[in-house]
Amino acid sequence: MKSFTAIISALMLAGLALSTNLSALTLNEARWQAFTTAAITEHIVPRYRQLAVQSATLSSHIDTFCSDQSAANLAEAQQQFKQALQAWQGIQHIQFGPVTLLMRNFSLQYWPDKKNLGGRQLNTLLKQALAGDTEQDYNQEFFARASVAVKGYPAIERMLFDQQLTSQLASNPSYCPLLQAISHHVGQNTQAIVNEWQQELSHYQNYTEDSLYISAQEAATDILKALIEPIEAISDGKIARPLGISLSKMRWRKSESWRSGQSIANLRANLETLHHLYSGISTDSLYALLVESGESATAKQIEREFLAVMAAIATVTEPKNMQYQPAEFEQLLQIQVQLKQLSNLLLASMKPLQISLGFNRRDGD
Amino acid sequence: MRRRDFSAYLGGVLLCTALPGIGRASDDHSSPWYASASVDAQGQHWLIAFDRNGVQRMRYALPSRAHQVIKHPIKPWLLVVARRPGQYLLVIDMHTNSLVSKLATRREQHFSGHLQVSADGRLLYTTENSTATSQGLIVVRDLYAQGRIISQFSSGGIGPHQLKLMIDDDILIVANGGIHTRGREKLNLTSMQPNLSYINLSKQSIVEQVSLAPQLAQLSIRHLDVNRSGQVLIAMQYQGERTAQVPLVALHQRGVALSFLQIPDAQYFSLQHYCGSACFDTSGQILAVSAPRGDKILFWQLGTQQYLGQVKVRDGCGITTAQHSGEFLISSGRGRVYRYNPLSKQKQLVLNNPQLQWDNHLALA
Repeated sequence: MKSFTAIISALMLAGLALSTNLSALTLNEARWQAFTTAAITEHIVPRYRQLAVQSATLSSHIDTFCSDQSAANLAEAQQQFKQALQAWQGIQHIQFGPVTLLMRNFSLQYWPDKKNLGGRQLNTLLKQALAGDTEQDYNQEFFARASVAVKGYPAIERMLFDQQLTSQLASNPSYCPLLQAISHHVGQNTQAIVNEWQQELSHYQNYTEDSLYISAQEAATDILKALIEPIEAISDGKIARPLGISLSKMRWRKSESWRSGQSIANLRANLETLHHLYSGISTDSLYALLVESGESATAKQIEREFLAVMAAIATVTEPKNMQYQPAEFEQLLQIQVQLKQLSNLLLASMKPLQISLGFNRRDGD
Repeated sequence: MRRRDFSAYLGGVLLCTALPGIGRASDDHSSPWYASASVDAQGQHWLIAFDRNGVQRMRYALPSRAHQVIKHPIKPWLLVVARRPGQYLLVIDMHTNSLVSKLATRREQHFSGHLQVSADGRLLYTTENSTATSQGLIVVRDLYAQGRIISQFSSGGIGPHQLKLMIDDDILIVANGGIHTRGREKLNLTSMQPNLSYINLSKQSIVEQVSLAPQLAQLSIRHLDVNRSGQVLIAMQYQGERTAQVPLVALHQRGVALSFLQIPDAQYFSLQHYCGSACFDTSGQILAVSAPRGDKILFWQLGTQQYLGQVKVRDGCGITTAQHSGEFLISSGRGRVYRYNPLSKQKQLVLNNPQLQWDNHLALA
């Protein structure tokens, strides 16, 4: 027993090490399981259900519009698009599970679309339809080959709101079939995610070395990542990028949903859903776990930051004619500072919970 | 308690102790040790070596985050280099836990995170960057003369990362990643020109250079390994479109075109275009590449280039050879180290220390 002495000395030190190192109250597996179960049953699954319902409704509104292309029907389809988009904004932060299967996440929303792939692909498809002799069949095979940029909400948004495209409504007989096919495809995809989450639940009940998660804490880590990591991404991608470095450099066309005038509404939906995941779910939220771990002050501070930034975003409106005034610009800069604070607080709160969101994956070389 | 659980437990306990050199109670080093940079829960960076049972044998406090560690071929030294843009390279005596020497770069240059030592133990090779331009350099130092710089010459590209000596020590293979950086900010993602360069060391000239086709120019060639017959395995990171399906792993042999290794669709997108370490097993016939963003390690057979499958390791990044052919040791950002054989699919937890995050690379010591 070569390392016997080492083992004995180590054991003698173990008590000492434990008493100095674990000052925070550590959460047991049962508490992580409670958090994971609550997050899935009260947040993830219901919000995917909502997404599927809103997307199916959108699909039927588009069908109605296509059978009778009245201004009223178009307005209703546009209104329902906004509902579906807000439902998506309420679950966009989940980047694990069925939504990641075969690039569904990109299919549902290819954004940012820096090379205007969506616009170019839609134009190509519409031109092809006009040039062809036979009517294009937008079936499953079509979607298997089609670019991700024409499979989701941004493509529907363009076809419902972009006047350069909608002007082809009357002249191009494939316009409505394509629009209908995309909205049906989105409906099917979102319903499939709902269905697959039912099977997915078993991953959150049995933990072994070879299953998807080794422990409830590891499963919880994926959910915590979905709560924390989007905040900086929202600030950078949805606010900083379209705002640009100065008022004169502002390019609101880089914002997420400017065609339907929903870019700011998206921010509200994002913060609302992240706040819900933080403290809105029953008694086993992250807020509750932080309090249990002796971190009440941090828990409350995060809650205050959430409420403050949500209140700030509530007062922001979409820019008029794609251009903000200095005061509004300043307001959005301030919101970015608040989001950074919120993100830092949440990241720091992982330490007492002994959660690592990922070392190599987040910052590798 | 099974032996390996016990050892794993010790690995955890040992790190918590403040007493250095506890592992030296048994000085046996007849079987290999393993070494890696790491960071603990307090944010302190460490060079740590442990034995094949996962028992920690030494640790040395590092001034900041490090990247690659290698064992000196003759002396009981571990060489560890700072992560890019790196300012230090330390030579540590692993038995006395003491600093042998601390090396720095010339002015206006920085280390890029990787190093090699000649088989006779005298010459140290590092990849370095000209800080202003990211022009790549290979710097040669004499380890037996306090690390005096003997010469430096072009690496053959911008932003060199890993380098490897071929078996006869006359050829150095360099992965020129192609990315111009300021700090860690990437500046030239749309004009990258990565390459794999073979440098004749006696002539200090490039004897062969492999570039990528223009449509693959955003593939940063970053990590590599070479077996005894001169087969080179390269692991890449894609900086282009998130939905592109480009190759990420390739084999090369001098005088022959690159050969891309297949990754099954079901795995591909989970990798998020990011590979970490590349490693041949002791037989040189089995290939392993880590994908920390996909939480998995992928394996292929050299001769047939057949995909052998993957193993899930959350935030797994470091890979090195284990004792037997076909076997690998894998380290993770969640404090775990596994021994895995992709042929038998046997996976064994060697060490589990949740207080610790293993950094990108693992080495045989």
